[in-house]
Amino acid sequence: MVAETRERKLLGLDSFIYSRTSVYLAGDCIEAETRDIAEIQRNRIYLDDVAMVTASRRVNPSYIAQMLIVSACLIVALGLSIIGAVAGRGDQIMAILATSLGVGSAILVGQLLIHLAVKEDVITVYGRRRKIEMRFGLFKRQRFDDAYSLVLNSVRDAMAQTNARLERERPPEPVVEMFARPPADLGSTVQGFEGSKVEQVPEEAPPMPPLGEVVPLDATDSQGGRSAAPPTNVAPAEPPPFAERAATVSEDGLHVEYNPEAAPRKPPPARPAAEPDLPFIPEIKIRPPEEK
Amino acid sequence: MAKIKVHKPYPRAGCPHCGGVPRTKKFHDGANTCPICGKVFDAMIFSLPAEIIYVKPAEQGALEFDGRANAPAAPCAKHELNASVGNCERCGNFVCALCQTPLNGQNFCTSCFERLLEEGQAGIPPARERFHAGIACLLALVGFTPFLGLFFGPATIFYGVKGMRQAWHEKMQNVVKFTALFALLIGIIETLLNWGGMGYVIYLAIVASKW
Repeated sequence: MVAETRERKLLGLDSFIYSRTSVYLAGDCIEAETRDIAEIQRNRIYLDDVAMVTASRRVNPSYIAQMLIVSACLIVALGLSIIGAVAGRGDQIMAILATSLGVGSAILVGQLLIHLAVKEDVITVYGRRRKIEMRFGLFKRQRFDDAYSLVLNSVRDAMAQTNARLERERPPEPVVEMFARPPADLGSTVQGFEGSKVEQVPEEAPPMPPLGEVVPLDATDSQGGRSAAPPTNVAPAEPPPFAERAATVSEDGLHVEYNPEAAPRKPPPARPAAEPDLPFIPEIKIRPPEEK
Repeated sequence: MAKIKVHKPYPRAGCPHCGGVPRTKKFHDGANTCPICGKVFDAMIFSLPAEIIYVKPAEQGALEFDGRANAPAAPCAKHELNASVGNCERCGNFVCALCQTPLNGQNFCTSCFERLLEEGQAGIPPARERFHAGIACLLALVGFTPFLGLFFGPATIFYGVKGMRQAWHEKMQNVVKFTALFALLIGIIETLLNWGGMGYVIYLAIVASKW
């Protein structure tokens, strides 16, 4: 995503020995603008790229270095002015200079000690590739709270918007049939089986009753099997005699139509009892010895 | 032996005090104690959304922007196998979902977007540029040297004006605006003093020559 507006809101500042950094909330990114003597460098972390935001309290090493350098210079100047005042024996100008330098260096050293004791609040924003820091001094606690909550809320809103956009843009997933049915014309399309017919296998037939037992139709349940208690109010129907099922005589009595399906099925031939496997014994013929 | 430039690794989200990333323990929302340095900090962790761009193949894509649904899409100008999702609003090329770059409500291709950035027409200040107010201050400091202000004074005015325009245009801090203004005033003073002094010296020389 690209920043679409240049309206910026100053969040905080950071400083190094020779550079100053201003951190802004600019549209959909957090922008750190670092200025040194002759160049401006801008680093941006987009709000939906933020991995972590931390708030901590720690000392600023560059601030300490700056204060130590300036304090050391002032103390050296103070020492020189004191020596000059002593050597001048009552020179008022040197005394005033020594006093002012002493007050200045005392203020700086006091500031340094306060900084070491109290430290300063730091907000660190970690992106995918870089991090941005903002520092808030002793009297900027309210500003630190405002900036921290503003950063967190902005990042949360940006993440929610990005997730919603990604959800909108996601294409529908294709439906995959794990066990696809065979096509209806499978028999005519398969090579080598042209003309064959794919038949639908009927469901399993209900078990046949044993021979000689009469089972009424109402006594079968939905599963096709016999129910445990047949109805008692229905008289068992007598099956038609075999001659009527096997042949139908026309009304004039001249023609007889045979019903081959009603013909009694021949029971399958009984399997011969399997002979026990015997070890192969070759036939040995013993010839009587030939008589000479 | 040739020097090999090794890029600094990207900073990982670690402890703000020591910068360490613990291997065994992960940071969580709220107050954390760094297992490496033992210092306390407050943290808020965010799970980065996975940015996925869905690209249709050119044979299957459909041109949606001209209303011809189910027609095979034109391929992207840069990626032949990708279906285009629109036109660049600057050069008119077909762009796929990978190339499409939104900017201020318009969609551009990548090359047009880079050109707009270079020309400064994108409304986004560049990532690196000259700091005119700082240069003006530096020139003003050098211009205090006698006679050097003859040249550094006008240069300070030039960079001071540029620095003020830059500070106002890019909505910089007030400190920067005042710095540029201060450098501009110093440059004007240096120019007037040096060129005025030079003119006075020339005038005196002319008067002396008449005598």
